[in-house]
Amino acid sequence: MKIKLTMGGKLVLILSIVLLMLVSAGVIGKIAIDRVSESGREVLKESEEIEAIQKMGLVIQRLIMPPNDYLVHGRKREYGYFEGLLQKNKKHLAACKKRVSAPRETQLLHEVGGSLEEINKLALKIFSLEDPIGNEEGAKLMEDMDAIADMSISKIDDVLAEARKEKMEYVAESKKVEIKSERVILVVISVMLAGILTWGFSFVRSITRPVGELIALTEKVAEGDLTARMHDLSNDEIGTLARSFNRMARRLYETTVSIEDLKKEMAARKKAEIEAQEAVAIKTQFISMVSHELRTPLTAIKESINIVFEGVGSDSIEQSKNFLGIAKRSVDRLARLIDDVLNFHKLELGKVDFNIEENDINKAVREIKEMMQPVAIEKGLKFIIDLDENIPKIKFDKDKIIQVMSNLVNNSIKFTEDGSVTVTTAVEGDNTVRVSVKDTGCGISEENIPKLFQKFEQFGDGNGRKTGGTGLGLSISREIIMKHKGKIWAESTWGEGATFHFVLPIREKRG
Amino acid sequence: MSKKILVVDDEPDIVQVVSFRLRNAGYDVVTALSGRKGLDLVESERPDLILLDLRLPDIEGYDICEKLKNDEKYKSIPVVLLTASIISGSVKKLESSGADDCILKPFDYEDLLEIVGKLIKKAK
Repeated sequence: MKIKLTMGGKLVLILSIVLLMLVSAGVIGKIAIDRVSESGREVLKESEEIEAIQKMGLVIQRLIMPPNDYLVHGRKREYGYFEGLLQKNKKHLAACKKRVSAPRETQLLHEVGGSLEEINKLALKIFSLEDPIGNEEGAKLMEDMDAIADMSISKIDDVLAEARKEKMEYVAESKKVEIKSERVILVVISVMLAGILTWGFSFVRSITRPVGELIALTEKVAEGDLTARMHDLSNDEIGTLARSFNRMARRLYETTVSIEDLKKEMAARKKAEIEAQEAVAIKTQFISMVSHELRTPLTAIKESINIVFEGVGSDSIEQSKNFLGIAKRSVDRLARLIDDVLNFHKLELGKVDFNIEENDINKAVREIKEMMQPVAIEKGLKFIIDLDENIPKIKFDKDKIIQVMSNLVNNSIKFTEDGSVTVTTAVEGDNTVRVSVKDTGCGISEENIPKLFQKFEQFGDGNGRKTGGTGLGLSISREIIMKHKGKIWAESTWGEGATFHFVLPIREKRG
Repeated sequence: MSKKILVVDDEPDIVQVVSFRLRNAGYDVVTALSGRKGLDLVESERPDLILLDLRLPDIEGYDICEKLKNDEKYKSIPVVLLTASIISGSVKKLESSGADDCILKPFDYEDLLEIVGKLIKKAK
């Protein structure tokens, strides 16, 4: 089981472990040092005793010198020297005894004390000799005393040697202990270092890894990806930070989404508003158009009939006929206007029946030529047709398509002062047939091209095209072409004529 | 010498009936079926009054009027606008164009002649 800790907790844990290791290292070191100093003290004490005992050996050697001198020179004062040395020796021995505690040394001192007594007895015998020089008894006594002194000294030497050996052992032992404790401390420190490094590394990793991830996610959010979330959630402060980040990103996302929704709604409302305004504008335009288109022929009708009726200067039948002709044309125009409006209204409502059947588009163009060529020639224009004879038969309502072509050709003739009107047919792509009506007239300005097919759109604003009709011709054409699942559009450069195209599908796609 | 009136309208039938009425009233009449032609005739014919249709295929009636009224040479020539629909242009636009009067189609020829006569008299 993985224990989950906060970062502060981890830090406290690591520090505790470090502290614990330091304390244990200290304790181990202390114990080792104590042991070393203990044995050191013992060694020191021992060596002090040894020094005292060693001095004893020297004193004994000196002690036997006055009796010897007495035997050589026969001087009485030698006894005094001896007595002094003996007292000194006894005093020294007593001091030694006080300091020495080890049993072996105590035993030695006791034996040395015995030896001193024996030397004293022998010396007294020597000093009691009346004729010491060359005295044989004296020499014998001297030999005995020498032997006792030698024995004592050699005993002292033995003990000293042993003590020295022990001292050496103590030193070696303490050295060993020192090395051992050094090793222990080294191991403890190494383990501690390794532990701290491992913990530290994993601790730092446990901070840097999620922080790095958070940075990357923040970058993502900054770049607009509001779905970025932190998935690996720990229980520490970083985990809390990650959760806060997630909450923030979620809120940001929700807010943005609601703002987007609001924006969309506002856009939709704005669009509806614009559409409503456009509808009103179209209605106004329609009324304006209808009033204009009604008033113009009405003016002509009224005035021409008045002129004829009043007989003002119209004494000739020819003149009367002329004015009545104007009236008749204007009446026709009014009728056409009413027809167009009704026609378009019906088309828009889908109330017009289409008689779609297999037909020859080229044949329809030839019929248009027959109808429109005289009008063009009357205005001094050439009427040209350029037909692709390989066009397959396609399905369309012949009357309606002729209506479209007649509208397009009529417009072209109306807006062309000189030059020609050309009707072209061609197969376009795999499955469409294109009919184009090209003129050499004034053309249409770029900004007005998209408006061409809108209802009641007429350009009387100096941009060239004023249909002079109902403003419905192209709208009606568009409706008819749309019903055929085709497309109609215009291309033009102002001042360089215009071309109107429409395409019809070869295989009519139903539905 | 009879006064010269320029009639500018893209509807030939209207031009014909209006011209007839004006000629009958004793005016000299020159006609144009487009704005450009009309401007050319203003220069070459120097008319005493201009009857100008608002909706012309090339240049709008307002603009022609404005142009003339801003030109020192022609600003004294009275201009009467002919319009079939008052809705198609705001009254403000009509005023700012500097036109001397405006006649709505269909009109009574008596009214037309009265306005024309008054303006020509004033211009003398």
